[in-house]
Amino acid sequence: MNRNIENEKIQLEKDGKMVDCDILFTFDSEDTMKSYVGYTDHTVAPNGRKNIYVSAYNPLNTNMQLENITDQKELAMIYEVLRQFDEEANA
Amino acid sequence: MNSKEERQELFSGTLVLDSFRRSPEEQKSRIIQMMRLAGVEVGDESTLEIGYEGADDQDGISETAQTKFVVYRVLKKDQEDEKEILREEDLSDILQELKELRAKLAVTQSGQERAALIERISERTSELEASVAQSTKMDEAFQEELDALDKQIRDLQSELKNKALEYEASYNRLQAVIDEQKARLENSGLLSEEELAALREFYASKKLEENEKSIVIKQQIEEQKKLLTSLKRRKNKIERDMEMAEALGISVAELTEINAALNKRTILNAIFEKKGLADIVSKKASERTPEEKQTLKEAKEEIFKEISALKAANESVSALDAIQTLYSVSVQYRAGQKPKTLLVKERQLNNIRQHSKKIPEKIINDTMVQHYTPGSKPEDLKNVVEGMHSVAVEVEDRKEVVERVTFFKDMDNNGQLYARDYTMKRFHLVPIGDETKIEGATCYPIDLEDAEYIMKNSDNQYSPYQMSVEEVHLGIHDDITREVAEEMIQEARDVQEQILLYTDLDQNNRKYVRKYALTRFNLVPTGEEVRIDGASFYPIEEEDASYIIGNMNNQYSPYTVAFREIHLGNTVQKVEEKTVLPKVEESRGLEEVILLYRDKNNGNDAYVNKYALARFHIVPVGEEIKIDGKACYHIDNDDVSFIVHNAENQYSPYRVDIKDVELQKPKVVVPEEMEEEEITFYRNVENTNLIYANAHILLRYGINPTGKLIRINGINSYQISEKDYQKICEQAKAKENTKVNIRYEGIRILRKESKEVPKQNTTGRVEEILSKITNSLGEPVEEEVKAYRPMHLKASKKFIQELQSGEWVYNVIHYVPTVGKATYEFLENLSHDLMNSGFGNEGLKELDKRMKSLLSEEDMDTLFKEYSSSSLKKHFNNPVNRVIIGRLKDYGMDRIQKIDQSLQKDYLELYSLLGQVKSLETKIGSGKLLEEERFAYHNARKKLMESASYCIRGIMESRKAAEVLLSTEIPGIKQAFEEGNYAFIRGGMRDVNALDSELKQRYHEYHQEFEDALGNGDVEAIVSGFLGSESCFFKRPDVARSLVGRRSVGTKYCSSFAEEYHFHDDEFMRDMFTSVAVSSAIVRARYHADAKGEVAHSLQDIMNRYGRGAVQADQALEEIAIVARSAYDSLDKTIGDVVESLDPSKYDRRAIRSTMVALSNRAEALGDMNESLPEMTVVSSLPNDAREALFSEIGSYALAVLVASQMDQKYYKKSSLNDMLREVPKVEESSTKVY
Repeated sequence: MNRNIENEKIQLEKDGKMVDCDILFTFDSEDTMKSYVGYTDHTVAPNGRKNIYVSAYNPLNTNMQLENITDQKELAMIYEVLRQFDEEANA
Repeated sequence: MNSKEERQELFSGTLVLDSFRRSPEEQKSRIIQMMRLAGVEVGDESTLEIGYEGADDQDGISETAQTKFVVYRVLKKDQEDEKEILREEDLSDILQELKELRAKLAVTQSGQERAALIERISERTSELEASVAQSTKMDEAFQEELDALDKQIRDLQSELKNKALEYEASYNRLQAVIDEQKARLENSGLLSEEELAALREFYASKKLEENEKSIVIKQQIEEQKKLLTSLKRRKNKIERDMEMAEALGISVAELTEINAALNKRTILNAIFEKKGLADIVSKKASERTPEEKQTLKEAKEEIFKEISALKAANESVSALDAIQTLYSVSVQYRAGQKPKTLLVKERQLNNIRQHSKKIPEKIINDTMVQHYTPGSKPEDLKNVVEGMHSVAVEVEDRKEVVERVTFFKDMDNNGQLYARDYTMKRFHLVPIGDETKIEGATCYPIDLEDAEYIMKNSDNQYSPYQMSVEEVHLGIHDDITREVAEEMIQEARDVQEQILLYTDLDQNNRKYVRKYALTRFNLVPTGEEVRIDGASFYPIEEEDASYIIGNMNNQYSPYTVAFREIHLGNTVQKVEEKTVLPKVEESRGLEEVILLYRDKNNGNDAYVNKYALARFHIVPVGEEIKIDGKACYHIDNDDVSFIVHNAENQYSPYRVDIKDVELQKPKVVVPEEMEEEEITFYRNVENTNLIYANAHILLRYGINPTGKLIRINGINSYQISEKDYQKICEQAKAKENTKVNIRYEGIRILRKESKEVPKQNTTGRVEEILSKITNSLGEPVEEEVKAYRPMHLKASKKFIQELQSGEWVYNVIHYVPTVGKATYEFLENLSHDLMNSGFGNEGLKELDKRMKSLLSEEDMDTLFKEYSSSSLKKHFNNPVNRVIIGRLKDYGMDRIQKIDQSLQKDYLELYSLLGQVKSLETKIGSGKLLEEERFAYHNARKKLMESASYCIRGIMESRKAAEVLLSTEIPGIKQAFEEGNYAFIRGGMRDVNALDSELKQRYHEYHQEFEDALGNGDVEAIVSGFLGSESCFFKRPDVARSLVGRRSVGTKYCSSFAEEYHFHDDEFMRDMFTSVAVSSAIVRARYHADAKGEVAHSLQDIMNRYGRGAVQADQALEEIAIVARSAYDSLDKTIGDVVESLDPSKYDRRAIRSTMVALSNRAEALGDMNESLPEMTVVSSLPNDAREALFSEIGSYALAVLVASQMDQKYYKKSSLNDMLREVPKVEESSTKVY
């Protein structure tokens, strides 16, 4: 997927309402044959942290239905991606 | 007149001429400087003369190197040569001589002779003038002082009168404040509690301010009185001294000095010896013959005159110096003074001696010169006044005294003391009766206080005297018409009031007072008038006497009490029987009478006129009716009780007259409780504009609640608008035949009202709770997981910038919740994560731990409800769920346990309350009660029923809460309940369908009655409805039916109730109910305060524990005795604290303590409505804080002692432990008597 994600939005269903979220990052994985998107509604959790949502989707599916990530390896991969972004930003 | 110089050498030295010639002044200065350096006192330099030796001139100037000098002090004195000592006889000689000289001059023709005569006349005239001037010169100073004293005394007396008026004005102002307060209260209409409190505080501060002013005035009066007494004494002394000095022809100062010198007995005796009286002096005074005493007396007078004569001739001679000069005796010199060598001419000495022999008649026989009757010897005076120090003429076996003061005690007239005319004048006494002759002397009756004062001060420094009292028998003489004049005494003492209190030792110490005291204290005499000391007295009660004594030092009208002991024999009349309520009788002169009409046809309903309504701010409970042609109104029993019990208040006492009437139209007896209504409004303390009322109040007044529902004290309540609030108040005011009491309470609204949380937020709330306990529990450990490889990473610039800024830390949410599925899936995933994360069991343990430590009661409650209502609980295989459900089950069972305990407490209390109600109903139904008792029991029953209704509300809420808990499907709770012992919850679980049709129908009727009563706040219906519905489930349905049929709330209800829940219902329990209920009722009625919570709760606790079998009767009795002892200790401590806190200048602490001690030791009187408690008036006179503290403690003590003594009386023999109660010590009196 070669999308320009700047100013891209994605809608998130939250408490019964659709909320616009800014897309923060995307990446793919050949191991899972899925694409992943990270996005945020800029809300802050009670612990003071900003919420970032990460979902998976099938790039071959035109609906782009978001899926939750439950696999540990996928989670690990997400954390790795975030770490890389952080390294690049502060390099 | 010649001047005489005295030269006294001061200093001598050698002047070294080491410089140029100085002027005489310079030289003198130099010498003076030398004197100062040598430590010689220079003094007045003008009196210094310097003599030089070896000087060339008289200025001390010398050409030699040194000059000796001597410094003299030169004193020039004017001295009269051969000044004659002129006494009265000298003056008459001079006058006679002058008369002869003038006569001679008139007939002399010779110029030389005439010149000589004129010179002689002039000389003698000058001597006469000088003598008079000399003798009066010093006395002028005393006269001035006397005049000044007179003026001071007059001014002070005037000031005291003004102060008395000021004091009275202050009292009137205080009374005006009280009247103003009454008027404000009357015209203010319905006031809230806060407004009423503010009004009371305002007037209390005004009253206090005025009271403090009056106290200051009183103190000023006391101080001025003391000053006045002191000034009078001083004046008396100066007058006496002046008279004496005038008689002796000397100045007062000289008189004083000679007195002081001759006071030294050794000096006087030495002089006597010089005069050849050694034989007499060596004898003891009691052994001297009258002639010898007379000799000494005359000798002393002679000495006095000799000294004064010498002093007159030598101005600078002191008395001691004169004594030494005249008699060559050793004298004690005053420090710093040296004896002076006097040059006294022989002629002068002879003159002195000659003239001193002529002693004026009046000096011997009468010291009060102005009272001397020429030609007659005063028949009563046998002594010589102070100053002369003469030997008194011996009378009978009296000792030799300087001065003797005699009192005569009339044994025929109760020991009344009399004093001679001389004594009256000597001490400026005011007689309290007419004169009488005693031993031929005119005597007057005197006040005891004066007599005591005189007796106490016999050893005073200025004019000591010796006291003696002679008993006489004057017989009962009717010619003494004197009154015991409190007005005279008051006038003599200016502002102090004295109350005479006589004690008849022959009649068991019966007390008597004057009519004045009866009126003053509004007392009722207990017998006929008797004559004492020629005055009318009346017998009074002991308690009235205690009251008089105890209130001596009250703030508004203090007085003193004078005590007398008398022997009236059997002449006292029979005492009238005392009635509890004052009967209609002839006026005793009291100002205000409150007439109370009692309707015999209608259960003694009470009526008063309009005046009484306004006076006591009473709201009538009936319409106007005519009684004796006057408009009267029916008032309730509380108001009757108030009127009756406050007749003897301090500010506005009155008398209550009760008149029985028979009104034509018998009234329907309506239970009092239905004529009273109470409305409580609740204000939010954080926002007082928010006001709430109970639902049943709104229902009653037709207000539709539109505000928020909240529960206040377990009752549904709603916020109401200001408009609705006003509407309720107006309707309540307008109600006829109903007394509406409006109360206000402050409340604080909790933020969380758990029942009103909207359901749609629950899920988010649940997530929040779960997040709290699961945070970071599921994060994987990196090294243990093999990651997939990411490719084609892209990030938005904004995100990168945000990462660069370092502003945020992120939560990575890889599962996005959605409605309905969120929690479940969240949990599933979480669980999955947890199990796969490697934490496993450790994580579960941590989760369990966090549930215990991190979640509040509210969190648990939310989770509990969520799990109760959702399908979450079904996923029991989920390990996280298992942990959560396990904790929720524990939480639920814990709540069930607490509900069961709460129910047990409420049931026990309800049973106890019902038992007490029953005992009071039995008392009320017995018929033979005093009015006060009836009122007290009615009120007590009412309060008990209110408490019972609250218990019932608590029971219903607990049952509902238990039902909710048990309806949950959280696994394990129901099973745990079935297996556990939750008797009270189980007992309340009523299966209506298990009843037969008759009972079922009755149950529904009772239940409806109960529900309606809950809504409208009808206490009686709440209790009867609840008990009625409960009775349908009693173990014995036949009993239940019979009870239902009779609709009685009685013993059987209580018994069945007790049986149902395995409480004791036996004689001991019932006696405890009776004792506690009746005693509490009496305490509340007598002391207008409930006993302190500790005592009431302790007794209730003992009843409860006995009821459920936790203690036996013996232990219960022991614990009751301990409560009584503890209450006694608390009362004793409070008495001590209160007495210590009182200002001793305003309160007689000893009297107050003594009164409280007496009250404490009359435990049997505390609970007897027939017994009056005069001690309580003393308590009522104390400051507010002290009064409230004492009332509360006395009430507590009374309750504890009454219950203990009543239970002890019946069950004593069965218990060996009740000696503890009997050992409660009596409170000790102080060793010093109060009066």
